[in-house]
Amino acid sequence: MPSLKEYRNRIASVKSTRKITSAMKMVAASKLRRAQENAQASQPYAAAMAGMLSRVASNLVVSPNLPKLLIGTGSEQTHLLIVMTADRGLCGGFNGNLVRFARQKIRELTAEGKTVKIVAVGRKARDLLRRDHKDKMVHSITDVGQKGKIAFSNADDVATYVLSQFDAGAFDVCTLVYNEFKNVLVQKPTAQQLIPFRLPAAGSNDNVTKIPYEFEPDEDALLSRLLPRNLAVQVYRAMLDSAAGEQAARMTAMDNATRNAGDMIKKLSLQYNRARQAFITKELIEIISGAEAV
Amino acid sequence: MAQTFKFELVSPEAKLISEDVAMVTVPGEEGVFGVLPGHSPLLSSLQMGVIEVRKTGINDNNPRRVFVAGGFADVGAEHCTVLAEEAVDLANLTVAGVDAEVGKLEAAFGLAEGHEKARLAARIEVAKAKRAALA
Repeated sequence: MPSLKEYRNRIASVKSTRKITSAMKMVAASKLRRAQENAQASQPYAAAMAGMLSRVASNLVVSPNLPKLLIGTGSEQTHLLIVMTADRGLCGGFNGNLVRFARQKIRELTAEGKTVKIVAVGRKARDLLRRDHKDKMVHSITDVGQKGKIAFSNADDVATYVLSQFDAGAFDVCTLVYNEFKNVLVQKPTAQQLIPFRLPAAGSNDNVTKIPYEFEPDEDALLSRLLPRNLAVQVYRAMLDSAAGEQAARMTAMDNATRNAGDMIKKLSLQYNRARQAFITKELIEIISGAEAV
Repeated sequence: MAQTFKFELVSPEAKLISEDVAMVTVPGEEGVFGVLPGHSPLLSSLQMGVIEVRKTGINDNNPRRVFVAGGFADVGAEHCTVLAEEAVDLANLTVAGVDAEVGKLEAAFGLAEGHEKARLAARIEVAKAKRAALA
């Protein structure tokens, strides 16, 4: 049986763990709020971009001369997966789930005989995937938004890299794998195809009268400028989603940890008190039996 | 009171301007164009340049001037939405400040290599365009 001192030490250590986890929970909660605000602030741009794309699309004539970003290269042999996780751990299954989902995806694609390349965004994706898919990893980006706020330039870096690879003919299909922020409790690993880009259904959310739009320059040229931009916007949106999800997951995980620590303290204190009482009783018995013997 | 329409300037990170204005001029890819209420629907890409926002009327001699480094404009009869990649109010810039920025970027450009170099070149071009807009 551990001595009283050992119990006291353990209780003290669990208490300080609880302090840390509850502080981390608070920090995550306030970061989550900020992340959600950022996600909201990016909404108008994304919405306007989607609106423009659907307008251009509704005026588009299908032809093989359309930008490759829209119609693809005509082959589906090489897939590029952008796997997006957080830089840090201690956020429950957030990174693990996503990486598992990505591995599943990689397995499916390889089973179909396709070539897979990976771009890892976030330190965890890089480290976890490097273990078993080192040969497939072509690029990795870490420290996204380390100074508190994710800038659009972060997303632009990723998009620029992907576009340069696409122009060089390094892959045919690009898919973004990230944690979609459903709500504070649920983050769902999602795969979204970026190249070839699936245009939003033309006019589905557009009940404004169908006035013919003028395009400057013409539709094709405009589209070839909009699509690369849209790629960056999609990546940016995913980054914000992922950042909000990370904080939400961390908040939940730390909340659980705090509660567990509380339970453990309760249990340990009970044992400690029992041991203390047993010790006192034992001493009393010794004193009494000593007095009787005299 | 002149007729007005809704002018919005949004960057990926935030909505920068959203107000009722009488006229804006936008640096379109194929030339600068003015937008008044009742403009026919138009989608245009933008080049680097200055958006002038006139609040009170077309004769407003003190327009708000905003520098944009390219983007897109969606114009309709009652709205004009500009999606800008980078936007700065010229009132917040000084010649000396932009000159310092150009100097700093050029110094960094001398040291940079490969991918970084191309990016800095683009930023120098933007900074120089800013400088030209101020002059």
